Amino acid sequence: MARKKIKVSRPMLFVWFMLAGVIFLLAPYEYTKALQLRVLSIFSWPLSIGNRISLAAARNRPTADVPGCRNCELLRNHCANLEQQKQELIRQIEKLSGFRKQFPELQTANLRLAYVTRTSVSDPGSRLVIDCGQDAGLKKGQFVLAGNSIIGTISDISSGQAWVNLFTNSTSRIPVKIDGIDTAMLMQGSGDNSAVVRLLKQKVKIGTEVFADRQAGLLKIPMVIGRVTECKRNESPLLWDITVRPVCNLESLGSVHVIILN
Amino acid sequence: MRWLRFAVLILFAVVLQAGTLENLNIKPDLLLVLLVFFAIYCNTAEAIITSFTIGFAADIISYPMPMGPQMVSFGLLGTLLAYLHRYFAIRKMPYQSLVIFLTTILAGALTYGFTFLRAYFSAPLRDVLTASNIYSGLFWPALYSSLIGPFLFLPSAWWMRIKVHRFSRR
Repeated sequence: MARKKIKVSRPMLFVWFMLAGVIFLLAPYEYTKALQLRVLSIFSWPLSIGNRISLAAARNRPTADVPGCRNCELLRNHCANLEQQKQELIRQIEKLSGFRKQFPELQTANLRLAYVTRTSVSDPGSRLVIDCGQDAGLKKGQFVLAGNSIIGTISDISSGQAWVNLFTNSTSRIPVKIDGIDTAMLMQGSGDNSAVVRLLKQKVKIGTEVFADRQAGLLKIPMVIGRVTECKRNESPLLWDITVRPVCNLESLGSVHVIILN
Repeated sequence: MRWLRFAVLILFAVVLQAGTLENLNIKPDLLLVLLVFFAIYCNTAEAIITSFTIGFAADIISYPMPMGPQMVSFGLLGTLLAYLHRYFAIRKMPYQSLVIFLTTILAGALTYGFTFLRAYFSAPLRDVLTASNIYSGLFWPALYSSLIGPFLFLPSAWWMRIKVHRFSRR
C-alpha cells in the first residue's frame, strides 16, 4: 500500500507551532523549569564540551549541572553564601543553648556571642577587641564570659566593636567572692596574666575557686572567674594576699559571650 | 531540507551559545543568525518549522528564564521574514547584516515583552527575573550577530547542502 503523504498548509503549520509556544508560555513555571533542567541534563555532556573550550576572554567557570548558565552560577554562589550564614547561625544557637543549659540562672539574660578580632595593640594580652558593639546592645561594664568563666568586662565601646578589659589587666577592679569566705572583696589585676586579692583575714587553700560577685544589672549570680594559685602573708602578719589566675586560656580565645541583663 | 543535518547544526550552535559564548560578556546570538539563514534560504514551510524549533532550543538554554517567549517570538519573526523574503530578496551581505540586526533587536524586545507578561502571572517567576538579566544586552548581541552573521551563512549553507547562489524570491 502506498504511503500517504500528509500535507499540512503553511498557515496551519504556523498555528500549530504557535499554539505549542503559547502552551509553553502559559504552562506553570515549575513544569517548564523541570523540562529545561531535564533537557540540559540530557545534553550536559556536549554542553560541557562547549564550556571546556578555552577562550582568552572567558572569565567565569560554568556550573556543573546547568552548564553555561551565568545567572544560575550567581544564584548558586548566593545560595552557598546563605548556606554558610545559616550554618554559622546554627553554630551560634547551639553554643548559646548549650551555655544556657549549664547556667539556668542566665535563662532570662541575653547572651551575645562575639568573636575576638584581635588583642588590643596598646596592651596586648590585657585587652581584647570583639566584633560586637552598641549596635548589638552592648554597654560598658557588662561581664564577658569565655570557657564557662568570667574573663573581664566591657571597658570601651563603639558602634561595631567593643574592648574587653581582662580581669588580669592592671586597671581592672572586680568585686569577687572566694569559696568558703562570705564577704566580698575587690580583685585587682596585676598585668602578668594574674590578679590579686589583698588583705584577707584568713589563709586560703591553693586551688580554691574565686567567683565574680553578683552586681545589680550586670550579673545575677556569682560566676567563677579564677583559681587561687598563691597565698602569702601581707606586710601585716595577720592578713593574707592571694594570687588568682584565669581558669581558661586567655591567649587563645576565639569567641566570647557577653551577658546582657534586661 | 536535510533535517538530520539541521538537528546537528542546531545542537552545535546551542553548545557554542550555552557553553563557550556564555563565558563572554558580549556575544553574538548564533541561533538568531541561523533563524535568519533558514528564513532566507529555505521555503516558507521549512522556515516556519526551523524558526519555532530554534526558538524552542533558545528557550531551553535560557534557564532560569521561563519557556515559551523565545519560541513564540522567534517563530513569529522567522515566519514574517520568510513571507517577506517572497517579495524582497536579501542577497548582499550588508542587507543580510541589517536583517540580522533588526531581527535580533525585535526578537529581544518581543522575548522581554512576553517574559514580563509571563512573570506578571507567576509569583515564583518574579523572584527569578531581575532588571539586570532582563535588560542585559539587547543592542550589543544584535550588533555582533549582524557583524559575524553573514560570514556564518556560507559554512551553514555548505553543511545544509543549500546552494546559496541559486536562490531567488519564492
